[in-house]
Amino acid sequence: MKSNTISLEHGAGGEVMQALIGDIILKNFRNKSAGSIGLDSLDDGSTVRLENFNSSSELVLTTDSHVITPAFFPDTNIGRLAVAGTINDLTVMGAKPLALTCAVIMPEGFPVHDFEEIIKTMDQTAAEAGVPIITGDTKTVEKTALDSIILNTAGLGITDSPVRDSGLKPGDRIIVTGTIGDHGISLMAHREGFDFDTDLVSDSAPLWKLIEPVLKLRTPQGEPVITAMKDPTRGGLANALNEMAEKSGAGILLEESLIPYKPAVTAACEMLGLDPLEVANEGKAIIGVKAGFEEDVLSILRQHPYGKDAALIGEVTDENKGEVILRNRFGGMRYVDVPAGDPIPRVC
Amino acid sequence: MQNESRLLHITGIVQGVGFRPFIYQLAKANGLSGYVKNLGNYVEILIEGDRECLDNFLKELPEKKPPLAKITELRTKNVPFSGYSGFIIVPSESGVFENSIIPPDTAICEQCRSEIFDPSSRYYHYPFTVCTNCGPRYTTVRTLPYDRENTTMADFPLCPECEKEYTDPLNRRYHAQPVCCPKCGPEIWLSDREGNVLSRGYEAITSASDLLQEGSILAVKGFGGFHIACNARQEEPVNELRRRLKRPEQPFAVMAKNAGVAESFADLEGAGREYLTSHRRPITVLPRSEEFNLADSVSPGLHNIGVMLPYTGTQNLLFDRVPDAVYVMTSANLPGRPMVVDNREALEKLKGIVDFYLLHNRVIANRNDDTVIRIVNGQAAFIRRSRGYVPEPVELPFEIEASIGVGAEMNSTVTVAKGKLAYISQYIGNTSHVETYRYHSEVVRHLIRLTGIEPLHWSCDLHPSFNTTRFALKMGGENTLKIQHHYAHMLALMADNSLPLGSRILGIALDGVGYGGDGTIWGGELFESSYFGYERIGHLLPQPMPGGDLASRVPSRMVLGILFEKLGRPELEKLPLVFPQGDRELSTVLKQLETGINVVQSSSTGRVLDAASALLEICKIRTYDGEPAMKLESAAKKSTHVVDLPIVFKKYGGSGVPVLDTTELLLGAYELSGKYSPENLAFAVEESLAKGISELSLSLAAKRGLEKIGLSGGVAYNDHITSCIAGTVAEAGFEFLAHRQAPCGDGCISFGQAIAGGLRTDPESNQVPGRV
Ligand SMILES: [Fe+3]
Ligand SMILES: [Mg+2]
Ligand SMILES: [Zn+2]
Ligand SMILES: [Zn+2]
Repeated sequence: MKSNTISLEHGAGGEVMQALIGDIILKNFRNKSAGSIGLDSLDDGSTVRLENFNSSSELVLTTDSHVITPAFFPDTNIGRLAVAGTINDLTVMGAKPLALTCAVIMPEGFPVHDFEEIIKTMDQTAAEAGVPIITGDTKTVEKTALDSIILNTAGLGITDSPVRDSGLKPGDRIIVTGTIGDHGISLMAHREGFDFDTDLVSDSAPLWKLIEPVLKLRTPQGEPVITAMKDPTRGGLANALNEMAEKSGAGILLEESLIPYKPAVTAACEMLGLDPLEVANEGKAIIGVKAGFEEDVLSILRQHPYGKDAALIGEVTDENKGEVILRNRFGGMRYVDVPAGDPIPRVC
Repeated sequence: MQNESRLLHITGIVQGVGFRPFIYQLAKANGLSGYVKNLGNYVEILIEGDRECLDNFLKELPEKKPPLAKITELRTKNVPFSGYSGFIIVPSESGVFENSIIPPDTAICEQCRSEIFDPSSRYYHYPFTVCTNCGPRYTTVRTLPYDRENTTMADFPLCPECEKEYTDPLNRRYHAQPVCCPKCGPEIWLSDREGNVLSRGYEAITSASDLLQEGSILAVKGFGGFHIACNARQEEPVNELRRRLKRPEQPFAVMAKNAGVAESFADLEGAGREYLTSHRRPITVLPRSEEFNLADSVSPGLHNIGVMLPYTGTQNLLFDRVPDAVYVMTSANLPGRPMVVDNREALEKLKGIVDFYLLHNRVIANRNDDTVIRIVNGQAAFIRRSRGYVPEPVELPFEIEASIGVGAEMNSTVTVAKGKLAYISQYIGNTSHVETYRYHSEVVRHLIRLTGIEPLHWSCDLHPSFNTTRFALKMGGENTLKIQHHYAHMLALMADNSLPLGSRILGIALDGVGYGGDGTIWGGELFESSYFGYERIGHLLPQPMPGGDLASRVPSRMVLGILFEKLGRPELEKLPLVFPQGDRELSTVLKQLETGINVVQSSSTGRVLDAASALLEICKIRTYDGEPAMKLESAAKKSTHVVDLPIVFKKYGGSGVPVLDTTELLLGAYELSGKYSPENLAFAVEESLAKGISELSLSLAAKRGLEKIGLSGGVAYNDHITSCIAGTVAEAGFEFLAHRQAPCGDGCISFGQAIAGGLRTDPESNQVPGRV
């Protein structure tokens, strides 16, 4: 069923949004590439070739808008999400973040104090990753047009070997840099007033410093050890892994018992009927690693506070191309679906 | 005396089932001459003689045909008399494939059975004894044409004695593909957990029966898969099996030597006996008898028990020394997953579950679970239509184009159809499991190969994330037809009742959940339905399912969902409900209902019955599919008083369609729970639900000029609800339709889908028109 107007689902990150992007955006933009990775790849960012320089390096450009209600949540606020999100998009492209932009749209009546707090948080987060914020834009709109703040950040990075989300090869190992679902569940608990008696907080964090050292790893043949990367934000691990499997033309087999969860996340999902694999993360990366190098990667990641729970969660298979399968503790297997927006009951 | 001559062409299951010897004998008995010969997909008969004798021959042919034979078409024409002097069986010409329909697997016949107990027979104590009238068929077929070398019997070349019987047209074993004897056929042996052989042949079987008597748990390989067996007369082994399988409550089927033994623990009155003893040997779900003398833990909390009689030689021999033994015989699989069929796989997968293995070396080409039948409203209803029935086609009342339906998700089947025949596959299981889904693809390939039907149309469920949906889209492409779940129920029901193409019915679909035509979740639906479209004209009041699928697994969640608007928080907290995660879950669910986080609306009937079962403290925690509603029905059977509950109709929201208010129903039961027993209230809930649905159906049918009212969906297995609706409908002068050959539950979905595909009028559109 095609609708004539935009619904919330069109921006929810599921299949409906994919269709919108494919049918309207990709079909109508004609010039979509400035380097080896363009808009059609729908990767975390695209590359810009440096025409008159004698260098194999490319720039990476990415942008992300953030709307979230409430703008403040336990421990942090939308400012951290906006900065970390863009740094992470550059990071999972294998690019060193060089500079960020900051655009703000606020409704009249928005407290100046809150605004300042958000800006300070942005500064702190950017400083943590060593990235300057070098330009911006501020707009205000009528109360009736918007009820909270919208932040947009763009990021510029540089890399001499971009990491794509389509680079998985059969045999590769799948690593995740930490516990899954913290952001989505903590936010929901806070926003809706669920009492999961826990002090779960959002995992929002800039990952550049965590990932930078593993990007340098090379096999004895000189090839990069990291074959693919993606940040599992909206739609969680389920969405990100399906995209990676599909774009790579390979299958992914996950071991449920190896996926790191905080007990509070598991308990909350079990009580809400949610699949933690579909819950959003804001400070995690999925990394495809050549077989045999997983321990090297893990030990480097675990030295950083953001990577202390890093774990090997599965492997890339030759069979079941484009599909993600989860094997439970008893050996039973199910497909991990692309989240359909709202979960649809199926148990008869 | 006037001599005439007729030429007959017969299609159906007419090869390898003793059909030609039968024709030979029937012709002789009627003093006729002529011939019978195989012509590939049909049999040709020429008969000559006196007209009265010819007529008698034609009258007796369908009446006396061999048990496995099935005639789908018989054409007769008069031809000039040519004066044959006797009757002969013309040998098949080489190059003529015997590619008629493959017969289903059938219980060992009386003659073969007496041979295995006859010390003078060369088949004495041989468990694989068969003839044209009996034995495994479908489960042995690898590919077409259906000749021995294309079956799993290819591994066992005939010895001279068997060869003689196999090639003698007058022998009972003529062209019976699985013919074999102790000299040339498969072997049976008993093994321990490591696969070491302990004994062979008859001794293996008697040791196995001794072990069962002593309380051991055994894996027993049969026609279409493995059973797990234990002594059903003692609590200890049954409970041990429950612990090992982690199935605390799910009922186990049992096997008894004969109807006489079965009578000692089950009630065989009515249609039950007929099905129990039929050569198809389904598991027949029968009421427990007054003097029930098996372990209660065989079907805890239920008023009935699934019973079957032995159908293989091995099973018959297991009762040789202990004629009054009763064995649990449950299929060897995890719920919804494919049954184990391979010896090595059995040793691996049943490790820790069974103590010994009774194995044989005939490969199982097609997995085939036991058929399960329940007597509902005095008629047989298939819970599972599988061994003994599959691949026998269902005849359609009209011709359709080559088409395939891939089913829904749970209890799935596949249907391939063309012309006037629809082949519904064996039971496949829950295709959300990867293993079951792979088996599903295998069944699709195999069914296409065995029927020779190359589908032009692929159809699937409307649910976007069913694996079967994705499979169909992959196979059939963009053009794949998506059929709303409950409409597929209706199409299956209409074809099952041979309704002609122009028919319109009022269709009632009562089941768990299905993806609705409006994107919400349906499951208690009243349709005006034709073969070319439907309109949703009534339904149950949509109720919140807090936690989505979780509300199907935890019935207490439904109680909170249904009563949320009516009772205050303190009252809701005091309800006698149990949650797997305790009070924390209770408060989470209430919060979910307040905020709408992961709460979906559904008009499901199953969920209302689940809620009643939980609220009345009949089933507090669900441990298997359908448990709350099954236990509710069992409790209702013990009802002593008639209690009235409110039957309230409303106009629903934007659509203005009439709905039955299930909140009032459940609230009524809750308010009377201090006054009446759970049993009486269980009966009242079922009765009021059935009456409410009937009333709504009758008024809508009258308004729309519909004369037939049909019922499909898993809730139709409930005898009380179905009988009540059927009775009310008939009393009001309408015709009531129930399923006949297809299951009421989701086993019929593929059948309905295949019909929609085969009747497709608009190849451009991938949906059948529905008004919601
Ligand atoms: Fe159904
Ligand atoms: Mg991104
Ligand atoms: Zn026989
Ligand atoms: Zn022999």
